Amino acid sequence: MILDARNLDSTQHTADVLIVGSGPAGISLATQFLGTRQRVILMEAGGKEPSSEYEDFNQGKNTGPLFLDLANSRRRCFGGASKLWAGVCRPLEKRDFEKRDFVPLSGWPIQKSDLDPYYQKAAELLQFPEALEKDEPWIDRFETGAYFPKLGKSGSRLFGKVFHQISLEKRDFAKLFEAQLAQSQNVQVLLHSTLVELEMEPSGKSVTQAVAATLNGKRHRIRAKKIVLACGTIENARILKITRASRSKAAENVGRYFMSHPGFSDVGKILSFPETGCAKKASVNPANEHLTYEFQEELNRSNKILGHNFVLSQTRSTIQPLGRTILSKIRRGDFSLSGLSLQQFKSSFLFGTDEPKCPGSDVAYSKTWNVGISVEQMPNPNSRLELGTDRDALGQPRVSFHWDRIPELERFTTARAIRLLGLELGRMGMGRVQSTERLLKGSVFEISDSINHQMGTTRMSDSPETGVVNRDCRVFGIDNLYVAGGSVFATSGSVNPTFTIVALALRLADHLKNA
Amino acid sequence: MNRREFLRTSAYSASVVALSSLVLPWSAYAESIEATPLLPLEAIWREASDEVQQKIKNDFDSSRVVDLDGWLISETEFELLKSRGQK
Repeated sequence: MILDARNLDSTQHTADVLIVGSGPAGISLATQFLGTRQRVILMEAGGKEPSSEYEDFNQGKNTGPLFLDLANSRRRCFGGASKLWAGVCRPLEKRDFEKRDFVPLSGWPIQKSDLDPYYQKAAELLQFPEALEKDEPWIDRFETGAYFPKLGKSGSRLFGKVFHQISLEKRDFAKLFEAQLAQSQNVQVLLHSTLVELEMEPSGKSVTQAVAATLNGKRHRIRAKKIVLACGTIENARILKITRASRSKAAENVGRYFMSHPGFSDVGKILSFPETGCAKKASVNPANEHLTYEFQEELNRSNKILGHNFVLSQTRSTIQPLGRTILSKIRRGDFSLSGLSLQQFKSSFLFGTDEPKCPGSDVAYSKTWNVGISVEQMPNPNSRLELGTDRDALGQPRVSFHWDRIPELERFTTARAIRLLGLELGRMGMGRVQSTERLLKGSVFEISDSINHQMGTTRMSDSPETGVVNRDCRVFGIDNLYVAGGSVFATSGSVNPTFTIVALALRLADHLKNA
Repeated sequence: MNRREFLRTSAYSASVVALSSLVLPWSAYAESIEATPLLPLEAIWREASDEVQQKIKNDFDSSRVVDLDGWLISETEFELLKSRGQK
């Protein structure tokens, strides 16, 4: 059943489970209760589709050196962030759950094996076409894999990471599950209701009821045995701060350790040698798959570098035409620097302007490649959100967000990984790698985040000293308050987070059913 | 002037360093690139015997490398570049 809280006469509700937020985490969780005896309310602040009156609640201030688009990176409506989701899926790596001595606060309280059954379940829920984690057979299907046939194969220190991308029509969780939720007798979707208060027992050890407000002035009270915050990384922490529900040592961690996956483009150039730069066959990248490369975990650990993804892209089709344009301008004598960066100049001229042929054939080979990299962010207490002084339409404090500068370990990881890539291609006789001027000068790290992988503000830990929720995603010190979503990530890994968010939500559902 | 001749002059290293100052003989450089797009590193690799190629690979395998204008090259390649007057 899907209801509009603005039009309901009754404002008193009871449920076994109240789920606050109907994004990928909230809806995934709710689906696991369909047809059960448990009464579930899935509460959504917005309506069925995004609207400006609700998106305004996402406004906030950036106070740090890095910028996060608070308003446009989230959606306050049925389906939540799945409305923006690129649909790219891959499980976290085993090492992401393990402690690494050089990464402060690394290690989850759970292991990947705890999540594996739920990854499989998530794949079924999202109707994946292929089995998970069979990377190597896929590599040759990619253009990059065909041009660099030794990379990611036996004997290579890199492995290829294949990311599955869910087709556009299957990404919106609202559309995927609306019919099932609408027909459900035991799961009720309550739209247009914004959580504004969590009333606690005097001891502070459990939530007695949640209070939700509507924009037409109604206040709904929901008594639930268990409450799950599933509002996204920013909003989960904001709600915990507004409601002051967390009163243990963990309260100091609420909002801290924000992480994303900063992507740094143009960090390196590859000069590939013809012997390796020729694709054996015409390759067309699979439509719904993506390939990146990362160094094997032993190498990451011995070099003390974080998880990462190399993205290799040909320059032939982009830079060399630019070079030809410049050449023609030079000949005509109307050459000007305006509109062209020095980097573009250097790329063009250093790499030539023709399209070389593979030895003994007329097949063009890609002589030069651009290297981009995205890097795991380490848990950093200085990347955090606080409550600001501005208020939203319901009188609640807006977010004041401080994303710290890219830490040294992430800068080191980037530079070191490029060097290791140079050693690897050299060792295998495939080409040479240049660190770009932007990398060497550090300007590559002055970014704004367009990736929107928001994680870590209510991190999972075995101790309230270093986290907000325990291994069951329950808020430390509160018996019946849970958190679902990217905010519980203890470390960020180097893969898109939504698939893990869904897997964690499915795991939480099992816990709630059995608790 | 072909590219190799161009590279033998000091203009190549100057070009790498001083693109920003725009003091290059642009047209000469551009024409030379168009004529022979082979880069020094490619030339060394292509012209190297199997034995030398293996030596270069071994250099990379054991991190015997040199940073040259951001390029990671092997010590063997560096010596060959020097002997060609390209460094």
